[in-house]
Amino acid sequence: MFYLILIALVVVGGWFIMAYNGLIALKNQTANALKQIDVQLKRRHDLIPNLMQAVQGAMDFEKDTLAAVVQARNTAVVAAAGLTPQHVAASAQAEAQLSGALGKLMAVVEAYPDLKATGNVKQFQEELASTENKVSFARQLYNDTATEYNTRQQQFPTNLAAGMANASPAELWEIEDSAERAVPKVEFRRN
Amino acid sequence: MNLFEQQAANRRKSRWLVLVFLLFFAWLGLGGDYLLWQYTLDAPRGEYRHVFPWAGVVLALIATGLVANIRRTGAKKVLWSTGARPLEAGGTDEERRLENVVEEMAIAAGVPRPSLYLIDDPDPNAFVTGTDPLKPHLAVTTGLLTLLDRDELQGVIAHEMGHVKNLDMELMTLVAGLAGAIALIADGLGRVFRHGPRLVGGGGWRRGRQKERQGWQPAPHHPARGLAGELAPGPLDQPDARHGDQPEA
Repeated sequence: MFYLILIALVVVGGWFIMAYNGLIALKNQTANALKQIDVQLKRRHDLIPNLMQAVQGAMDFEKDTLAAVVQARNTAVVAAAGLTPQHVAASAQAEAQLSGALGKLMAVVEAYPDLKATGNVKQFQEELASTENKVSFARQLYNDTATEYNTRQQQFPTNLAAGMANASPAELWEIEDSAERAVPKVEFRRN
Repeated sequence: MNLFEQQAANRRKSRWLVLVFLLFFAWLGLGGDYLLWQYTLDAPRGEYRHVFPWAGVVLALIATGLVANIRRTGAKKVLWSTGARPLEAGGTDEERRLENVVEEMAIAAGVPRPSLYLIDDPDPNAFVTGTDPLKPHLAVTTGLLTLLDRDELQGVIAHEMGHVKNLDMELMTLVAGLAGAIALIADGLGRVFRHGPRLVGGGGWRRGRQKERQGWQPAPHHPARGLAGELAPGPLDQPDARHGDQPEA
């Protein structure tokens, strides 16, 4: 009888250690995946002032577009400072805004063939496109890892170890740009 | 077959390949041992009798050394044989785009960013090589950079990343290295047999050796050739070897 209890204790203890360590590993992987996004965001934020310098001389009269980019960037920088797996939404939203503003700027640049042809702007277009791709691929990795982490800590019986491992659900990085989501309004009017 | 089964299959194949390679060398040596054993069976007392299979042991050890050497330097040899040069930072717009695309696809595939090489060739082609999945090497031709747009390039690079992730790269580099080693040894032995008579006989050794040197025209030394470069100017020198050595197309 004593041995039976001992074996049961060892089995339960062994399971607990595995569940606990598995949760910790996933927690760190999630944090790491988020860091990958963060690195790319930082890169993007650093690119923008240089881009501004390259285009603002030629686009003095497009002040609104430029100001929108600068403002969106500043918001995004502030949001990125508080980025943790539990607080993702603010950054996700700010970055979506920034993507929108940059998209508009690039659309305007298309209207200035001289500006578009200069080496600087072409390079920035490439770098911005690349950074956007990197952010979106890093986001896939983050969302996959975070989903696995969330699932694990909610499933029975691992959820019993979740409290001890300080596991709390990670927020997914969702695209929440109202402009990207909005359905264009079409009105038919009869006069 | 999912990714993990694919990886397991390739790991298994790599192990088999190494094992068969070692066994092949041991078998060659044991054949020699068998002949010597037969030859010295009737030797009188006190004379040498070949009992312990030295040749088999020595050849197996040499084969182990070859495998270790290829695991260490195989990628370099494959790259050298294709004439690839490392991509330097701050190149043309197209090279910059390649760096970006590779970094993007490395993030997407979750594999380490490969070191990049360029091959001056107008044909579009790309391959990865390396025996360590954590240290991939990716080479592309200049033709690939000029012919493809960004999206097409992304597709090609994604394909190559698949080779890294599936561990195809490891297997194929081993195949290229080991097959190359066997070809080199066959070539070297062929020379010995062809020029053999001149190598034996009193006083003729030195002369024969010198003649051979002139006949062989040693290829210029290249640091990347390592063992292969020391052995003989082998198949790596032939232009068609570059296609044979390309692990991935």
